[in-house]
Order: sequence, then structure tokens, then C-alpha cells
Amino acid sequence: MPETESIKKRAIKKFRLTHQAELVERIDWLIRVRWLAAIGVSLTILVATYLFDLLIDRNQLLLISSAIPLCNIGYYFYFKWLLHRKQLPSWDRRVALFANAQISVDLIILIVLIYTSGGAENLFFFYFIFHMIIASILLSTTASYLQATLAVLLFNLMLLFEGLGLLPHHRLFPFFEELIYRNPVFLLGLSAVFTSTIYLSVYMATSITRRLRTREEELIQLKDSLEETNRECKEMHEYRSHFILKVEHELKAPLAAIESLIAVILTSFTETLTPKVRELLSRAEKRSHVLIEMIRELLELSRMQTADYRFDLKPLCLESILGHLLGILRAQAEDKSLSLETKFPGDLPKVLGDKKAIEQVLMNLLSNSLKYTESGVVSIEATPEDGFVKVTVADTGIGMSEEEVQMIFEEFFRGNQAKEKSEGTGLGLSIVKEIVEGHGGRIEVESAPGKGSKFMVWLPAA
Amino acid sequence: MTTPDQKLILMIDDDKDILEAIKIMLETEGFAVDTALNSKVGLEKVTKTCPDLILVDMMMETVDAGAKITEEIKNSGCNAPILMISSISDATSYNLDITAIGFSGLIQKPIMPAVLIPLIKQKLGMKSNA
Repeated sequence: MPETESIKKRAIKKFRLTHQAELVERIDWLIRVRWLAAIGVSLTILVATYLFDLLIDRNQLLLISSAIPLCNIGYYFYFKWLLHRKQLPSWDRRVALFANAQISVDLIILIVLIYTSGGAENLFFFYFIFHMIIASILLSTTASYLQATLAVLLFNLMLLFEGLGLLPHHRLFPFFEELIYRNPVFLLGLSAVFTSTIYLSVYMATSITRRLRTREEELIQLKDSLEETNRECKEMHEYRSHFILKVEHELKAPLAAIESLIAVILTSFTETLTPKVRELLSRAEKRSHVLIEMIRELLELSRMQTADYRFDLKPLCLESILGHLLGILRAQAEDKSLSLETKFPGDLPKVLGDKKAIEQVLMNLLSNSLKYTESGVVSIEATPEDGFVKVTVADTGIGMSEEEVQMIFEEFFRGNQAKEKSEGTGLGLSIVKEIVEGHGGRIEVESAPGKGSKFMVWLPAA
Repeated sequence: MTTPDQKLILMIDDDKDILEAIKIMLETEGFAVDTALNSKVGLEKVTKTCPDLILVDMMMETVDAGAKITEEIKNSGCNAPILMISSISDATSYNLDITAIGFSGLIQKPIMPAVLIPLIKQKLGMKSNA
């Protein structure tokens, strides 16, 4: 008994399919296509019997062909029932058996139709090939060959029983020699052609299906692997974001304490300090301030470079943003006797951008120009250009060499002359570039030593 | 011991150096200053005597310790304005709506006298020496 059970289990296992979801979809398709097949068979019977001089019983054929839609109704309701019972034990085995049973019943109906419409005379035996192709797609390779064997068995039994007179022959064509269905040479030839056609079509179809399934499995594995990698990346990003915030706090806290302590000394104990001590403390305060700024900017840059960073994009009026920024910087320009020139056309389109980020970009470019220009002009111009608004900030300042221009957007880079002039983090332009490119724009610079610099930013128009 | 006109400011921060620096800054301006190194001690002091203004560091024992102690201070019945001190450049880094939490304002570290004193005087309704 146990051995029978294991044989039974092995047999059933052969009918199992590796792609359950695909199978469910295809059973649904098969049931739907069978409605069309039922209509097609009935129409063929009607057309053939009315148009041609055939010796078959139309009503008998229509009665047999009605088994197709009747069975399909049963399949439809059973399938619906099955789809709501996924918790049943061996559910996938039931689905596989259901698919097998449908095809076997289709083969039986087909052989009965062929038998009652001419038997060996009927050329519609070629339609078995469709069922073999469907079986090869739907079922496992072993199940497909088993279905092929069923088809071969049914057809050959029909030929044999008709030939031996065990089953009455239903004539089809009036012009065919009456006893052709008893001619052994004809029957052997017919059997050989049918059998070889059936097995060859299963072989070809299953080979192709196997290859497709292998590719599909590889794709599924790739998809799983990508999903796993994506999950790991997201976890890393989250960890990185939390880490960045922790680092920001841990780095800034001692520096903030240093600055506050120095500030307190300079404000509350100023009378007890010599001028030299005050000067040294003031320089220490400035250096720690630069370090705090550097940490802030570095962490801001790091945050912007995370995959899930999003700008809050809205239509912005550049003129009012620039007007506000120039209002802040005007005093600094006047202190250095610099001329601030602006040039905006009346119909300047709005730009699509994050207000805080765009303000940061323009503020950085303008304050750099003012910082590194001793005399002359700082000019700001905005013009529409091919769906963008081009903002040009130009100055008559210290300028940069060709090599410095190539490096100017790199993190921490500062030109030699800039370093001599003042303290800075070297991160401002890296942040500017990150913001501009994050908005879908671009930034370019033209400069020459002693001849000033021209920064051009293209921002998308709203 | 505070004089009747003297305003009492309580500062809750786990950084001893910041506490020392701010204490000196505020005492120079004539404020009486009490300090607490953690939320528990801070809440005990508030419950004992409600100060005129409270400075609270956002990140102490936990990332949102400041927010938690603020809620407890509000629940204790003390209505002193509470200013949040943070090292994080933007409250939005932690998606914090500071007014919803109950803070009256935000000061970023490093705390400078020129920023701190006018803000405190404004919150206390005092005239600033601008």
C-alpha cells in the first residue's frame, strides 16, 4: 500500500506545475477560448452540412458539440469555487489536475466528433495538434506527453474498432471508396502520420516552453535579487540618514560649546583680557565657526545626495528673490564701493524650484562675487532661453585660472587667491551645483585670473 | 536667591560647558539662572518653582527628550515660555513642528549673546538694549 501511495504521489507530482499563478491565468484563458471554440465547431458543422454534399447527421453532431459549452459551464463554476479555496490542502495539485482533466475531456469530445463525422475519412484529426500545443504550454512536460499518448490511443482505437467493424462507420464523403476505412495500408499510414505528428508537436512545443520557463526563472531570480538589493539599499539609506543626524549632533555639540565659551569670555570678561588675548580668542572663534559651517554644509550636501531627497518645487519669481537678496547684500557692496547692476526683461518667466534652495544658490553666487571683488561691478542678469531661465552673475574680481575653473565645484576646493583672501569651507559651490542639477538645470563658469568670473545658471522655467 | 524684580531662567541641557557659558551670559545681563543636566532634574525644579523662562536642549537622553520634557512642563501647570535649543540646523530634520510641541522659539547652537539676550528679553516682554 505504501508503495502504491508513493507511486500515486509520484504520478500526481508529475502533473504539478512550477508556475501556479501563470497556470491560473492560463486556465482562465482556456475556459474563455473554449466558448469561441464551441461557437466555431457549431458554425463549421452548420456551414459544412449546408454547403457541401456530406453524409453526416447534422443534429447528432450538434448534440455532441453541445458537450463543449456544457462542460465549459461546469469548468467555469468549478474554477470560481477553486479560486476562493486557496486554503485547501494541496490546492495547487487540484489546479494542476483540473487543467489536465479539461484537456483530456476536450480530446474525448474531439474524437467522438471525428468518429461521428467520418472517422478515418475526417481530416479534422489535425485539430489534435492545437490541444497538444495548449497542453505543452499549460502542463508539465510529462503531463503533455501523457496527454499526447491519450490522443494517440483514442485515435488509433477509433481506427482499429472502425476497421474491425466493432464500431459502425459513419460515412462522410459520398465520393470516397466505401471501404477505405478498412484498407490496412491506408489505416497504417494514417496512424503513423497522426502518431508522429502528435509526438513531434509536443516535443517542439515543450522544448520551446522549457526554454521560455528557464528564461522566466532567471528573470524571477534577477528580480528577487534586485528587490533584495533594493531593500538593503533602502535600509542603508535609512541607517545613513540617522547616522548623519547623529554625527551632526555629536560633531556640532562640542564645537558649539567651544564657540559659546569663547563668546562668553569675549563679552563678559573683556576687561580682564589683554588686546592680544582678545585677538587670539577672536581668531579661534572664527576658525571654530568655519568648522561648524563646514559640518553643516557637508551634512547638507550628504543629505541632498541621498536617493530619496526631494525639493519642494513651486513657480518662483526670480526678480523678487533677487531683490530680497540684494537688499541684504547692498550694505556689503557699498562698504567696498562696488556697483550692483541688475538686468531683467519685463516678461521674465517664473522658474520651477524649491524657494529655500534657489535662494541659497543665488545668495552663494552673489556673496562669493562680493567677497572676491575689491573694485568694479557685480552684475546679475536673467534671460529666458529654450524652456530655461539663464541667470548670470558676473564680477570684476580676482578670477580663477583654467585649472581652478575645472575644480571649482569639487568639495572643499578653494582657489589659492580665495584662500589668501578669507576663510571658507570650500563646499558652497558643491552645494550650489547639487541644487541646480537636482532641479534639472546646469551651471557653468567662465573666468580668468585678474579678470573676474562669470557664473551662469540655467533653471527650468515654470 | 532671586530678588523680586529679577527674572529666573531655568536651563535644561546635558552639556556642562554650554550650561556654564549660558549661565555667565545671562547672569551678566542681570538674570538669575538655574540649571539642570537632565530632564528628570529639570522637571523637579520646574515643579518646585516655575521659572520666568525655560531653555531646553532638544537632544538629551533621547533624540526628542526636549519635546517630551516640554509636554511634561506644560502638564505641570507652569506656563513659562520655553525656548528650544538645537544643534540640528533645521527643526525639519526631525519633522518637528515646534509650535505644536509647545516651544515659543528656537535657538541654534552655538548660542551667541547677541542672539540669545534680545530673544529672551522679547519673550519676557522686556525692553532690549539695542
